[in-house]
Amino acid sequence: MQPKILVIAQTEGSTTEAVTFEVMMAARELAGKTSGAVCTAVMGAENDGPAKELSRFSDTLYTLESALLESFQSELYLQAIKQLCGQIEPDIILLAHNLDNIDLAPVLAHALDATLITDCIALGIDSESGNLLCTKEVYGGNANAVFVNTGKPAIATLRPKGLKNVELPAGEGSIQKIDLVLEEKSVRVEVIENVSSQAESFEKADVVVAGGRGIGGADGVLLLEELIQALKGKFAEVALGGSRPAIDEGWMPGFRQIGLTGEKVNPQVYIAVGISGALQHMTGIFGSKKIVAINNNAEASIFNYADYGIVGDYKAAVASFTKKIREIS
Amino acid sequence: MKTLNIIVCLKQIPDPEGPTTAYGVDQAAKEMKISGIPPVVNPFDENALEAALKLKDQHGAKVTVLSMGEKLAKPVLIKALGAGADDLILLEDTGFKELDSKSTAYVLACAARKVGDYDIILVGRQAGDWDSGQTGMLLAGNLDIPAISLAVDVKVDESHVVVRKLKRNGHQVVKAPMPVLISADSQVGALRYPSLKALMAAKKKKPLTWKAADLNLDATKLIARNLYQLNPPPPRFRKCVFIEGESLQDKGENLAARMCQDGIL
Repeated sequence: MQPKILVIAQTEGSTTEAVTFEVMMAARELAGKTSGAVCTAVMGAENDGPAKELSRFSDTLYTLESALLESFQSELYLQAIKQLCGQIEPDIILLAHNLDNIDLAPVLAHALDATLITDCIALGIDSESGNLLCTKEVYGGNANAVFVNTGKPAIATLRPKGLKNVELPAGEGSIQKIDLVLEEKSVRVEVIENVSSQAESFEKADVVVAGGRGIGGADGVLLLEELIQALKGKFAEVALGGSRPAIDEGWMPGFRQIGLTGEKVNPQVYIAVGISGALQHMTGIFGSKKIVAINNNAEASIFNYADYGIVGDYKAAVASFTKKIREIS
Repeated sequence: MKTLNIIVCLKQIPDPEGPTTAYGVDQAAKEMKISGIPPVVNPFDENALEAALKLKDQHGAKVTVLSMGEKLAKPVLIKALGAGADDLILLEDTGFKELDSKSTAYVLACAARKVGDYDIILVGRQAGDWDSGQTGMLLAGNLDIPAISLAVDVKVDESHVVVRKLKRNGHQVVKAPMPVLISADSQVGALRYPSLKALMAAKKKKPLTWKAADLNLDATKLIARNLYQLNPPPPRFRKCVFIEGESLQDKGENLAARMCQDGIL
């Protein structure tokens, strides 16, 4: 079998989101193992930029253009992808695992009577059956499950790794425009208001500074904010996060929660302050390149997972860490 | 306005906050071996129940809890009744063991149809065991009703729901006609504590149990999770460089210096 692998690109206006290249790399690896083809679909109101850029790495690029696709609306996106799939009949569909695709991927799976495995950390091909193998963390990171995805098509969403420079073999893929017939009146979920806020997104964060029970209160958050300001002299995106106790205590709003019952992050540097390191939290941060832990308990399990550690009261340590970063900026 | 009928789907799972030592993997059987920790209601499903109870507070509603599985621990599910749910229906059948998401959604759809006349179905955004995060959306597909994922606030306005939900890089407010399925994020709020009196009353209620044969379902559509392998997690321990110094101030400065030296800052 030489599968046709369809990547749904993630774009924002005229720019291609970095995660798209990660998904394309995964598609390219699968194609290499199976002599398959990589197709890419770009959706939006005006796709020329991303279409041209991504066609170099695709065998065929499909551009799905409509004013109705300008911002994410899962029912309209579904209509568009369904029409494309009707024409090209892909064997495998890959998407980035993010808040929009948590919505879109299952609906797509249902509409195509396909099988979906979400939040995969690795993909492979079963050499005997040719089926897609999807690896994901289960039971809060206490096991890795490898699923056989026998769906026709087989759909997977991939957990972003936060890779900055993905090297892909470049070629000259063709660009095909797909004629779409989108029915706005059949849309049942109407968007009344869109509020963009980078602050609510960990996806692009280079550094995450997170506080736990050990920061002791909302005052502690102010100290972390100062550290974040200092780090912004070095990194483009720095985000504040919290473990469950910090959220439950009301020291930070819920969208900042990281872990099993919050978001999963993968920054270059994760700075855990006053976080003990329960697996419930750690499962959200294992993708971090470097983990720094500051905790007054030398026995805290966070130090088992950290690259750098300071044992002691966080207030003095964070203040001088912040000061030194400003000096060397 | 007629009384709102709300269905909440609650999954029982081993406590995801339990220690790592409680979780073992039987690679040959491709099964988890979990010991020494109590079952709990999936945390996101508790959020879904809280969203339902908030609507009940505001508008009055009948809240029916559906819980599917095998060997369900009643004390856990009694918690739902104690918190304010009106009815509890257990979907218990040996045939419901280890089903994939698609089949689970199918069984829940059959049960929701049997409950009938629902306005809102609330589910958690994902479960702390298999972390699949798709059953709710598939359930909506099965029932052919609109679906809204990742809700952080749910309001009812006449025949519609108005929901604030998470999206990539922000949030949005959406409106959809009932009946509708809504998946809840943790920001909806933690489940309220049941009063002792309510818990005592809940214990006296007898949950209904529906088996596969009660649900008018096609058993050939029940497919088990298709596992190729189930493996222990990869080693995650890192070698920690403990930053030393005479005082904590020194340690803080030395940390920055060391990270700078290692090319991280």
